Amino acid sequence: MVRYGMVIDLKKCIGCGSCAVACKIENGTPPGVFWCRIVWQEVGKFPNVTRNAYPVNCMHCEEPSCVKVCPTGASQKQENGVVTIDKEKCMGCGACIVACPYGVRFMVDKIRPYYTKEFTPYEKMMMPKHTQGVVEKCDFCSERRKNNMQPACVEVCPTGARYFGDLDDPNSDVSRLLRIRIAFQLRAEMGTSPKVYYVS
Amino acid sequence: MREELFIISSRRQTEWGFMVALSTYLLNIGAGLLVVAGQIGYILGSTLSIILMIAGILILLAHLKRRSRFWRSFMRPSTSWISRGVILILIAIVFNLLYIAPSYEPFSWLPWTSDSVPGRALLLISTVAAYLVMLYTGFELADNVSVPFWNTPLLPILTVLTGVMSGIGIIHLSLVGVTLETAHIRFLTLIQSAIILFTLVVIVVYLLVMSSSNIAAKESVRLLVKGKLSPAFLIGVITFLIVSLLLTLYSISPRCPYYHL
Repeated sequence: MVRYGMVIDLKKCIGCGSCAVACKIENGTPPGVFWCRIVWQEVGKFPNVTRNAYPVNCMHCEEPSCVKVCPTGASQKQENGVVTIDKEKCMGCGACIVACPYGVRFMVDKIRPYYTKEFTPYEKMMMPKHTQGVVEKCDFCSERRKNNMQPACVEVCPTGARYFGDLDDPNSDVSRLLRIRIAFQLRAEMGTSPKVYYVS
Repeated sequence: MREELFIISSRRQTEWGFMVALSTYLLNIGAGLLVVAGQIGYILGSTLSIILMIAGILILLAHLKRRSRFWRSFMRPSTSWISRGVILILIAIVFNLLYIAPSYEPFSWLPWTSDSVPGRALLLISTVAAYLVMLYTGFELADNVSVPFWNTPLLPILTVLTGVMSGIGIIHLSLVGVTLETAHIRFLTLIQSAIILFTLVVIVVYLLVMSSSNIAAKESVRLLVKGKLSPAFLIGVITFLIVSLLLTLYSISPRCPYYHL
């Protein structure tokens, strides 16, 4: 069985936000819901200041705190390591949002159009995928994976900073990168063991 | 964007707001009242405890975005404190209802009384469940590693203390026009004084522990003690507890004009 994970090379990432836009296009997420986004960190003091970009999506943790706290069983960790939400089971209590240390879960409060009072044809096509009153998050593009495609954020990255693959396969790009580069996980002290790694 | 810097520092918890806080508080004091009222055989207090707990559940329901799926919250007691909580609340309410029912005229035909062995067994089960409900309200929050200020075993201790303390407080309030043995009132007031004192000590220890914890917990302490939440915390919690302690101590001292009543 595969164990999906992601490696993001911060040396390659230019913080262009293509991944966040690609995610929006692929999944048609409603306003205010971001399965993928860029977090900026300012380091240093003027005039020696740098800004670091951290692309952030669901970390698909080995020990997901969101799954543990979910009272309905809607949040589940699949055999392939991907953490998913069953929209039919979620009752919208928000416990998983509170429990997630990464802020990557979003409550779909209201499905509304992005630009005007009317839904665009594209929004009309995508909105049925979303349900009001339930929690949503990145699922490593499950629909694309079924067609042997990479997640949209990986495919669209102009600098090739994102790598996706099987962490248990020693020949996969992600395993190779984790062997040869110094990798870290966000908020590793939380004990959730995220499967999204950052190399710099 | 500053809010997003939680990755390197902290971010505020905003998902659970007033509704969850109110629901948790009502469930907590309802459970505390159930425990105390049951111990002194105060049926009105036991009845009030059920009303408070049902109000807590209704507010929790109002918070849910998909209320029709509430039944699913019973499905994961193995890992989820919310699941455990709703099961325990149900046990506490049902068994306490059965315990008090024969005391009311329409249900006096029931084959037990609150003083009989079955009645005491019902009370015992509901009391144990109520203690666990008070613990649940603490563990529900303490289980979140993502909120360092909550993630401490001191929180369940604090919720049990505040539950029992508030339960005694409600009994005092409900005593207007109701006859209860003076010895019971004195005993409750004495217990309440001790609990208030202990709660104050736990709060101080809590703040000290958190102020030496990570940056997010330190920020929470700063908000409570010096930040924008400080008026509510220092006046609404700390001063209120100190005044309550002084009043309870005075009421059980021979100087109090009502001491010999």
